Amino acid sequence: MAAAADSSGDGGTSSGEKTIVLVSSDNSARFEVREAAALLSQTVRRMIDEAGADASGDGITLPDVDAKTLAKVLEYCNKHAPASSSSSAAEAAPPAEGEEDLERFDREFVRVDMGTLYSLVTAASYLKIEGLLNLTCQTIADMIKGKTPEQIRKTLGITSEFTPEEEDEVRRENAWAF
Amino acid sequence: MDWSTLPDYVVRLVSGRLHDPLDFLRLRAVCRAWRSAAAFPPPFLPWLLACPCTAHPSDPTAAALSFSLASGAVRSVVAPSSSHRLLGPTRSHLLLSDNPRLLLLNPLTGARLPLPDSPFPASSPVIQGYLVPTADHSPAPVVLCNAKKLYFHFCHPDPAKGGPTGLGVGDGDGWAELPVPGLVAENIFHNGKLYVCDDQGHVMVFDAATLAVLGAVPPPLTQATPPRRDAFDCTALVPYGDELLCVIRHFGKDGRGELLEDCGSLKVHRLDMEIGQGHDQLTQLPRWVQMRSIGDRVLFIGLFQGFSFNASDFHGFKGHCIYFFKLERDKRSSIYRFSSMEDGHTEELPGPWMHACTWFVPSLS
Repeated sequence: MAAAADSSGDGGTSSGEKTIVLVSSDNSARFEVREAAALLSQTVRRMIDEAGADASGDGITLPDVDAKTLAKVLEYCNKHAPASSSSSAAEAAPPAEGEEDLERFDREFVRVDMGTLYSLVTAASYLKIEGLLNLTCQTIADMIKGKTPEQIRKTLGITSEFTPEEEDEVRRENAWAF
Repeated sequence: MDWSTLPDYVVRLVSGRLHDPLDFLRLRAVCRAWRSAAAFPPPFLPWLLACPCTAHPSDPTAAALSFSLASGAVRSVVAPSSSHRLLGPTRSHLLLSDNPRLLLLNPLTGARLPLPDSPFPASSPVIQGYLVPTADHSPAPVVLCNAKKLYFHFCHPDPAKGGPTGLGVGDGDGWAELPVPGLVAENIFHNGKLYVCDDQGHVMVFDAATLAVLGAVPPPLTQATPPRRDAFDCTALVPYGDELLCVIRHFGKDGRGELLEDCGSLKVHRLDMEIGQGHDQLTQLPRWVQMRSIGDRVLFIGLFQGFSFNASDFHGFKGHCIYFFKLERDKRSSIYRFSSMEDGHTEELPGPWMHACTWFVPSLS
């Protein structure tokens, strides 16, 4: 089954299903994907609605998503997209198995470095892909659990930028909780 | 890549998945942007509390231990003094007794709310007490009881509002005595009514405002095996939305006299009151009806009471489950999860090294 999106794109054209071309921000890569996969993004859906029926001919440019991230995002979309009506027998897996399979895929999908995770969560937020946003936020939450604020800042490379008054308030709030 | 510039709603999606108050507070302490984005906490999963100072009666800084189900962290919760005794399961506040003084304490914030003195005499002191908040924030009473009497009091400072409700203490100390006909075992306040179980498993239902008896419920039908002298059932009363459930745990003694629980035999019943449909026919009497599944909810039960959550409010938490704990011989608590689907499978979860006595739902307010 052609699950991975690549720049040559082989979407679902062989089964005659509609495909959409998505272009990364630096114009360096074009991805042809099944419509069902592309429409997991509410942003893409809106762009298509606003631009009219012929927009997908030229490809939809996504100014905020680079090529590497777009490839990874489409990997998620292709896996999670609903099967189209013209799906082959191989795609029609029974629901229970499909769910476990998806969970395993999701677990592996987020085993990435912090930079990639950051790109994924911002892309999911810009593209408004609910499933991917929930998955990445849960991954970030799981990473935060049990860490002190200093450890979280160190892992993510954040500086707190608190004013002295805010520092006091934070210290007080945490002090009584401990 | 600057994590502090994540959109506010994304930070909220993350903070909404931190079901332990300390994880939530730590996220708020990371940077200014995250702090202002994560203004409201998500619902918190319960902690398991140990009885304070049973192991160290001479320790003046008596502390209870808490175990967080969400994070697995064990920490100390300081009781005001070694003479304070934890009365029973509550939600965000602990109900402590220093006979005759009573106190509601939020162990996270340290906020203390005094209550009128206990109406029980020193010779026959209060054994259990609780304050179960209502789902719709209508007034909930503090309830105190021992084996023979039950008192309750609506005129207390509202923990959620952080101050007296404005109602005066009233005549005497404002404790109302419930006219219970027999002994008092498990009991609970729910939806304006007090449900009191006696030692035979019969439940009387009282209207909390008028003290009128609204009904009497016979014990749930159990298997027809003759009751063994050394076996007994423990009933936990659990509010479940507008309904009331009871969860029955069966205990027996093994050959060496040790208390053993048959974990696979958890039974859940729902109270069917059918009020107002006439009581002259047998089928119209209130009764317990066994439930095969608890739906997409999670129940947490102690020995006498419990509470229920919607599983969908907690990410990654599966519904149809009942969480309970019991003591093992060497004082290590075991937490069990009973799945109320057809197979009724019970699974032991890793538990803390402590003498657990109640679930507790932490709150930051």
